[in-house]
Amino acid sequence: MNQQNNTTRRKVIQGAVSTAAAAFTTHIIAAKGTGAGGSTGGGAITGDNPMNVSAPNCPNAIQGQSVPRWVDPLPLPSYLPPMSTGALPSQYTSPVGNVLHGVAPEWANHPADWDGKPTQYYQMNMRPGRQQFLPSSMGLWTDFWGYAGRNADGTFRPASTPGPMFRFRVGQPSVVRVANDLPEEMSVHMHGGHWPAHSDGHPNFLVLPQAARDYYYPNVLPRVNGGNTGAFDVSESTSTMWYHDHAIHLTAQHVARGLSGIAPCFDDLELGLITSGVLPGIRGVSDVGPEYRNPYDIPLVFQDRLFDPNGNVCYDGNDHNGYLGNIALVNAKAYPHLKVERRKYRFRCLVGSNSRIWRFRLSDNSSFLRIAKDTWLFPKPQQTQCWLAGPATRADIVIDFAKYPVGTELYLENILDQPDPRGPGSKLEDENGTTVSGTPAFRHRLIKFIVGARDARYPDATITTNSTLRPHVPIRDNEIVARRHFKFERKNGQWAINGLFYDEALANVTPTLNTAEEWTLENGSGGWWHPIHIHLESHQQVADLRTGRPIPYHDRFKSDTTMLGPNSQIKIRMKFRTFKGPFVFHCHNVEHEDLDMMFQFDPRVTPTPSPQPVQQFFP
Amino acid sequence: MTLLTRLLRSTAALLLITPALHSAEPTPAEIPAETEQAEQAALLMRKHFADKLPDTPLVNDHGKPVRFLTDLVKDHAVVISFFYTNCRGTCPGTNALLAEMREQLAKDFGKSVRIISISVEPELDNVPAIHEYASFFRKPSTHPDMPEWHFLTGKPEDIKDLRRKLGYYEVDPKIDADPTQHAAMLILGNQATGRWGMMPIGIGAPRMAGKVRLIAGWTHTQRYADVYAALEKNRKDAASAAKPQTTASASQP
Repeated sequence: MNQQNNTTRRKVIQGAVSTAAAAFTTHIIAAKGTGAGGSTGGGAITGDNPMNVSAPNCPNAIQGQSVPRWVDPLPLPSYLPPMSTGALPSQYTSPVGNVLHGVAPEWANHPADWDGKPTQYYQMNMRPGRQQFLPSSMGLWTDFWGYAGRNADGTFRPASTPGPMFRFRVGQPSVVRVANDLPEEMSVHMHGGHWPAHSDGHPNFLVLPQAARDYYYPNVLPRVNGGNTGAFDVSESTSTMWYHDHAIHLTAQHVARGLSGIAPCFDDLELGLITSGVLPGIRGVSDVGPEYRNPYDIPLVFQDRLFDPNGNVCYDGNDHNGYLGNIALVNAKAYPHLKVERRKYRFRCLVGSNSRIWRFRLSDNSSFLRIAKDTWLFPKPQQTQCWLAGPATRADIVIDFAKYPVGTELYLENILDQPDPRGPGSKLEDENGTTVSGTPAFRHRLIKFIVGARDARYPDATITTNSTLRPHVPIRDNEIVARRHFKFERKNGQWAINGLFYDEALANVTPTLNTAEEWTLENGSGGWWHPIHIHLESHQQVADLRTGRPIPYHDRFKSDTTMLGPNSQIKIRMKFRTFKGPFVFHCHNVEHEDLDMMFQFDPRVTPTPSPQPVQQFFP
Repeated sequence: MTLLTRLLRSTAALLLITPALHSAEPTPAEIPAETEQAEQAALLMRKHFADKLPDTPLVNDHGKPVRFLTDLVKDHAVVISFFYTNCRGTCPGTNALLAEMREQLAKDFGKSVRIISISVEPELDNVPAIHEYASFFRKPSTHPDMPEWHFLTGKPEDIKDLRRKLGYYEVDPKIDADPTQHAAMLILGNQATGRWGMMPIGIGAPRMAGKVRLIAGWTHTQRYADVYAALEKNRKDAASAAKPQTTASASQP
């Protein structure tokens, strides 16, 4: 987008905000003068605009531009090894399934080839914790709710956010015993995976306070022909999954309080790309489980928060439009820095914000490779200068720092201004491109990379735009057995799909197992943006009905979240394989999901007219 | 309801539900007992989230000035509705539903819960108007623990601000100015736990009661009665499925 357009857009947004201000006496959190708390250099933050938001219930929020930049190193989520592999850990005091919420029925009854590798057993408890979200030089601590991983010796790590990092292996089952030491009900959604309904983190399949649930993750791929026999569909192998709370009506509050984490997964194909030096990593280390230790593969979780003057997160549980913060966090640390070597790095970039939509680019506007959307590698990398990502969207990118001299300082920045919960105020197609021309009117730097010398022991990755990554299997016209239309809209002060609110007892859609359907996802009026997340497996965007434009390369293959801009109508195709429902699909602006922009789909063995009562219920 | 009766109630509920749970409860070592840590977590929740509600000055239908937070919400669970006396669409149905819910709330929670109905057209709804309106829906009841039902009006700008802070508003000022947009939802809250939510009317009395219990419930067993009932049903279904199917095989030709 050119600068003129961007400036016009900002005026429109500011107009909207001032209208809201007149109506409701809002308090705009904005920078006042220069960064009072001291930035690098002690004055204004050069080339950096504040993320202005309206936050009437947090009037004393810390000003974003007063937060010092680049003080602390980027924190990395700590890898959680299994407590045991093959045999039940001695620290489990009851067999799998013998906890209040039990285990998926598939645990006791599944095809033999799901057990190709011995099962890994884990435990984590949901507990309160305390970290320095804000730069350590501010001396403030933030209370949060997080996940405490359990070590093999039975001791617990402190609760952290992001939570402990799982590293799963396609073809190797895992059981994670999740216990809840917090005072509210929870549900852990492993976002991006292909799971039994019981283990999926369905919003009504809970972990009550003082109780536990055994999440069975078979890490099994759907079969090419569906069903329980035949070849696995390797195009569905997952890469960058994340997990977060999904408890009914509480998702937004719980995610804002810190309940999220990241969980990469590996299969033979992706490990082969590391072994052959295509993807960044150390041969013989990064391709060896269960650790898959890889200093050149780094998760970046982007979130935005408001803070009160004591350093605690300010979240208004009564505002249901969408939570926007004025301070950006990367891996739960405001404005960190990362020392990198002169070589290629893979970054698993996750937007873990409740509502904010971001557009990322490098501060020198140089190109990089994007290799995946959500949890699936592309057939070939995409060269791009930027990417658009709403809540839950992942982008795996490869940045080549070899072209910069030692000592170079480079930033990843957000160039999308969003002071309004409805969205950035522009059109989806204007933000979802791959080029940035001129200087964007809005720039907010998020993390600083400091380029250093390369460790010569480890060869650089060879990935280029010509590298072959994961094959894509398009869903063909003749596979479609049903077409459906879903309209996402505001209704009576809440959020609805086709005029209906979420009902945990009702399967709104009952696709037939092992078939494919075509759905049109339509955004109703009002200028709202809705990122739509569909559980169970990937969906493929096939047409943009409003603009008639081709689907951009990065959205063309597999997604688990499809962004709808104002009045968007995106046609998608999806298969329903392996597992009986119910599963959910919903807006991943989690405030919208909580009140009640969510439907259930419940794949059945035999064709069944919709709607129906849900066929299984595992509270 | 006094704290004592509340305690007695929760103990009774615990006795009713506990035996069914024990069979599948994890061993004590697996699940830590309610601890200081859990209390700290609860406190954290209360301290930092959803505790910024305004103490809006309002007038009840008897003409008495009251404060929203101090006099109505503090230490209580609340069900909040918005209405206007000229409303011919949704409001009468909502109020009939609230009248029905009030009887049920009396049994479950007694006076620890309150129903608060606030006019969204305070320019027109003066004290006599809302008093007449209230008398129509707020029938006297013989139940000793009947929850209080307050009908309130006030200054338009105060009510608008309150509605905004309770999250019941439209970002688009044109839509927001239409009172019909604010009559089909109920706000649920519990200032003691810091937990708030919203629910649409028209989802059926049992589901509404379940959502109220989750937020207004003072004890674990009150909050999660529906979850325990569903777990128990699954357990019974699984047990009967595991039994030899004698009747089924006998009926086969």
